[in-house]
Amino acid sequence: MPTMTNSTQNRLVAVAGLLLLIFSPLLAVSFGAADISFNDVFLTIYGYFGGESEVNAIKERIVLELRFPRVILAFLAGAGLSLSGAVLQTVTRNPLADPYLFGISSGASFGAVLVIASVGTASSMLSITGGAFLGSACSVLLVVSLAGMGVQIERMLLAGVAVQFMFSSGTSLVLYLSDPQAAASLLFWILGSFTRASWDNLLLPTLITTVCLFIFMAFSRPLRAILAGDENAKALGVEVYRLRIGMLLLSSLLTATLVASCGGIGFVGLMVPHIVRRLLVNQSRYTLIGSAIFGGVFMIWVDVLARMIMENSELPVGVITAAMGSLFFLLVLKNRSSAS
Amino acid sequence: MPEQSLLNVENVSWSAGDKSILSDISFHINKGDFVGLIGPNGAGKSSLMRCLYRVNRPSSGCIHFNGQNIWQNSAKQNAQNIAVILQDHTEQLGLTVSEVVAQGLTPHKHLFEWDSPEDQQKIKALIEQVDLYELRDAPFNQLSGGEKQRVMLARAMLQNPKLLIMDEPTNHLDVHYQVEVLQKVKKLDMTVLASFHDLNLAAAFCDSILLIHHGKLLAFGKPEAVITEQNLSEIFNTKVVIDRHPLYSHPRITYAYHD
Repeated sequence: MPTMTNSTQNRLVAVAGLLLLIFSPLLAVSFGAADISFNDVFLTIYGYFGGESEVNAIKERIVLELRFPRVILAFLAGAGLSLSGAVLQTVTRNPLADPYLFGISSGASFGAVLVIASVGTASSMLSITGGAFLGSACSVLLVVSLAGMGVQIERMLLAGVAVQFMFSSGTSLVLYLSDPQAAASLLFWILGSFTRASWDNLLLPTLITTVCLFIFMAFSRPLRAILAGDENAKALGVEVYRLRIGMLLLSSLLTATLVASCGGIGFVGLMVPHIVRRLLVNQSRYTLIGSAIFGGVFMIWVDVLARMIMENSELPVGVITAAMGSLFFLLVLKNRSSAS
Repeated sequence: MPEQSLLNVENVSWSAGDKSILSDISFHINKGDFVGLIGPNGAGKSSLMRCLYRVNRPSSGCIHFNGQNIWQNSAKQNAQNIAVILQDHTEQLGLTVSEVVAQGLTPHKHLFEWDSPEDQQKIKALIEQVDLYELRDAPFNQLSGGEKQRVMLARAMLQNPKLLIMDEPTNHLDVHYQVEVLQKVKKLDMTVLASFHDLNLAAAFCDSILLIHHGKLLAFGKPEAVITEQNLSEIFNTKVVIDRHPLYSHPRITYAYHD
């Protein structure tokens, strides 16, 4: 932006991010089928922390037990997938990398579906996550072994697509073989949804997302050195291959955890880091934390949209992100080809 | 004597798969030297340099820096000693000039450690020194080849190494920038190893020259001792005439060809 200095722009982005981070969850909780006002939300929180409030008990339960866990899960999913995307884009130097496009999400979905189909819907969060992680780790290793450790954008994309198809067909097979009722709920979950959110289910995603954010930020400098190319990064003292494989596995752990709790939500990891990089000039060290915040906020509002767009029914969030994301993908691709 | 030399290369051989690329190369570089590396295409110039900054691991022989085996140090320790300027640049995923220069701090920082205000000052000063201050916030990938090369020089200076390795630093540059980049480096008073395509530039700027061919070291010494009609005609398979540069004392190479 020519009319604004870069530091003013960066400061504005930071303030906007902070305000969105604070107010989005509170506002989002007041949206939904049941008529709950912002005031009710406020009073409920006030009451929860010991204040005197006269919100009716049903509204209070909806806010505390349904909507808040759901909004938090949406935030975690957005934050985690964006982080995962930002890290994937960095270690592969591929601006089109995304946990979904890389086949990580479909690997995770396959692993999770396999666990649910064989153990039943009673399977614990931990075992679903475990299955999802195994699936996603397999897909990362497959993509890397198909595309090689050297980074070629086209090869990686193609390998990702191939792996994605492979695991998707596996998932379809499992769906086909399971009984219709289970298949319907599995399908809804595969498309991405936050309906299963509850306080009990939040622990693992919160833990993994926080730990991953912490580790990614610790390695933010060597990660930025990888952008210079493998040989340059080695000359800058970075153990490139070790760092890359470590970060790929962490990204797939993060993705798997989120897929296990809310299904396959695509393209968030592609879009958000791109936009954050555009917004912050000369501040690539904030790309990771910025992606987490804006990704989380973005997902909160996508979920609100998913709940509000149709009356008496809700859309899977994955459908909305995929629709937006595929347009975004085309846009990026078009810009890249016209630039080169 | 190897005891005092900064870099000591002893009997280094390296092969890519079954193909032997470098065989039995030994030389040393003393502190403050500006050493040129010349040889025809495919002679092994880049492979030899890659051995020095630990991308290629020699199949035999060893490399000591300041008396320490570089393969016993960590990658980070080596990067504190040796900076590298390569020919090819990636797009850097939208990083700006300042951010690319800041990559030079990588080997000097712990995990979580951020740039200090002094670092920021240093980065600014170095960007000024390579005349890119106006472009400090511009995306690196939009720069011209010569500008990118100067960014890399600033990054290497920030890395503050004891030895600077440059792979054909003058490649793709106009004559003006070729001379400018080399003069800038020369002024740093740093120990330098640079490979050259242009033999006249090598003759003009180097204190000593390594001549390699088919992965073997053929000659190592002062420019006038290495750049001889006999050495060059044979290796480059073109007749050359060598006399003195008309303005300075270093050798001048003229290729004897006509239509």
